[in-house]
Amino acid sequence: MTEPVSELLMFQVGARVFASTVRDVVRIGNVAAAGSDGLIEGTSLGPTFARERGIVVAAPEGGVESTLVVDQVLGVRSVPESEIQPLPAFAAAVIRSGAVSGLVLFDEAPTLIVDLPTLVRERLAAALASPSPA
Amino acid sequence: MAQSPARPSKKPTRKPAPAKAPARRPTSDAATLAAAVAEFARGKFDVKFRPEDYADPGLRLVAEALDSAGGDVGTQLKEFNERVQNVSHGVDEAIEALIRLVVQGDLSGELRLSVTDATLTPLIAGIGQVMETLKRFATEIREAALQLSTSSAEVLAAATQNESSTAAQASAIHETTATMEELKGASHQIAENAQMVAAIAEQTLTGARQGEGSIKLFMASMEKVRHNAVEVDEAIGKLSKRVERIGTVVEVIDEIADRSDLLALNAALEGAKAGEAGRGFSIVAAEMRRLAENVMESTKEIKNLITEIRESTHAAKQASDGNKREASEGEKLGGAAMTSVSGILTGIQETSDAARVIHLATQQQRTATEQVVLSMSEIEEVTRSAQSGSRQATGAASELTKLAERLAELVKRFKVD
Amino acid sequence: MSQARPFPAAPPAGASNAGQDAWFFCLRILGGRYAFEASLVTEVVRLGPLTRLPAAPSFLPGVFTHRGEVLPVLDIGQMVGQGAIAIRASTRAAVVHCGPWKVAVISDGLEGLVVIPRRNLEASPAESTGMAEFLSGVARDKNGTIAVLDLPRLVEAARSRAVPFGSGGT
Repeated sequence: MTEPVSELLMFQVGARVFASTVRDVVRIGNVAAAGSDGLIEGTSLGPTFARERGIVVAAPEGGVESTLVVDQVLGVRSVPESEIQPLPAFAAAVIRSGAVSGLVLFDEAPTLIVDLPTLVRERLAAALASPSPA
Repeated sequence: MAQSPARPSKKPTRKPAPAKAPARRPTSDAATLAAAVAEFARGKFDVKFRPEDYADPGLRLVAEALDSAGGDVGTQLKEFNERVQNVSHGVDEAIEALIRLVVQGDLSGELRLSVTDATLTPLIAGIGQVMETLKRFATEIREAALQLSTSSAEVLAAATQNESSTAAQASAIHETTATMEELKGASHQIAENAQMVAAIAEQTLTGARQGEGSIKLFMASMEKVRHNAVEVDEAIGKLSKRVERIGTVVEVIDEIADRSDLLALNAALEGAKAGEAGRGFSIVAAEMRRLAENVMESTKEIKNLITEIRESTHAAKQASDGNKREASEGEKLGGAAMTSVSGILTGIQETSDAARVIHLATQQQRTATEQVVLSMSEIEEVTRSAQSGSRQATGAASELTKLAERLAELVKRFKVD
Repeated sequence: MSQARPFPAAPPAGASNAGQDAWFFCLRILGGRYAFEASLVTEVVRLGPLTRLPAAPSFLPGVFTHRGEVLPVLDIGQMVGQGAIAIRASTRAAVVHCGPWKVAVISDGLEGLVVIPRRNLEASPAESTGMAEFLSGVARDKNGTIAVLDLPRLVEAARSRAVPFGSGGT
């Protein structure tokens, strides 16, 4: 038929738009409904402002679900897989975080593809390492 | 050379008996007798008629009769002569006394004559009365003279004092008149000034009344502004309430839209996860999202509108509050200004009244001063005439004193004690 | 949108003094003249809008797109702790290939190719400011001193300095 596509959930943290594969998203909810524990904020994506949506991230191997607080969820977008690029080698080499798994170019502008479970995991680890909230 | 008859003369005229040549001896006894009678008639009352000498019985009878008659007559005549001499003597004494009285003024004592005679009694009594009367008069006159002296001295002193005091009075009056003249001038000045003050006060009064009118107008307009502001406030209040209600409704709509959006999102997510199978679902979900987005766009617009309305309402309210405040301030200021103006009016009124009073008073004063000046002139006149009168009085008193002294001197001559 | 000025990886063949001269690509960084081997540079481009990467070290201000290719940006100044290069619309980057790594080196200004006789290359001075670690020598030309960078070493050092994940870079 056509080239393979990836379904990406577009969401916004601060002024920046990010994408993530829908496979990692359980559902989208209200922040208030999620309850105070299980909310993930202050990730490497940056600080949130409006906090209107929570992306419920799939728990790794039967772990606990986490809700990533984002400012807005923009929607689902089908992207041809050819437009998805990995991070440049140098960038990937110098960044130890695995939060960004790739890029997608929309009109020559790169949108970061976020690996949500990794992002959540790293955030939780960081919270354990330094108890001060981000 | 009148031969006095044998009657005693009343007049104390001394007529010495005229010396006659001795008569020749009658040749006859009759002649002798006649001669003797003549002698007798002449006053030789001790003529002897020696009847014996007469041979003629008739002559002897006449001679005897004459002798006896003559003796009687002679005795009577002698008595009479004695009496006359007494009286004469008494009269002389009286005359002397009177002379003494006149010359020496000795009214003391009584008139005592060395001779007594009944005939003299009335004379003595009369002279005594005269003397008494004279004594009384003299005493009275002396007393009067004394009194007169004293009085005249007093009058003189008084007149002198009067003269000096009238002089002083005259000069004092003169000074007073001069002062009064000055006062007249000054009060004229004051009256003029008071007139000016009154005029100025009148002007100020007019101006202040105008100011009062303006302030009243101002305050009326402030009242209006405040009233308007209150109305505006009420309108704003109503508007705000309505806006709030709209806001509430919009919130509800927003909620619903948001939930719809969420549903649509999740639907899209599921559709995407299902891959091809869920494509249709995704499309529907996408449509739903669009719808929800539209709604949210509209509500966003409404919310913006509401915000704008709120802002302008707030601004309007602030402005109206400001207006109210200013109107209040204005009213307060107006009130204060009114108070001030009232104060000014009262003050002016008082000033005006006071000026008028001053004017009146000065007018009165001027009149009074003029009257005083007039009176002073009159008094001066009177004083001057009094002065001259005093001078005259002094002169008269002086004269009087002198006269009194003279009188006293004169009276002193009369010894009454 | 970007200029492509490919430079020869090596001096033109047949040049009589091929072994005696060294070709360098010179640029200005924070007031100093730096150069590295010209053969490393593939092109000079105008810097596009940068996309910042989360948890990126400071010497990696971001990536940008050039003709459909996403390039990482290397800030040498930040590498050696001398401060960030100001990125403006006029900022030029030199795309270099260091082994497997492809980076866009940004500068305050590009001088371009310079030729230095090898005999004029000196050893780097003993003082070790941050940059000295990566100097392979000092050259001089008529414009002054040029610090010659050992770019591959620098890039390799950068890689090993990567910030461990979870500490929230940028």
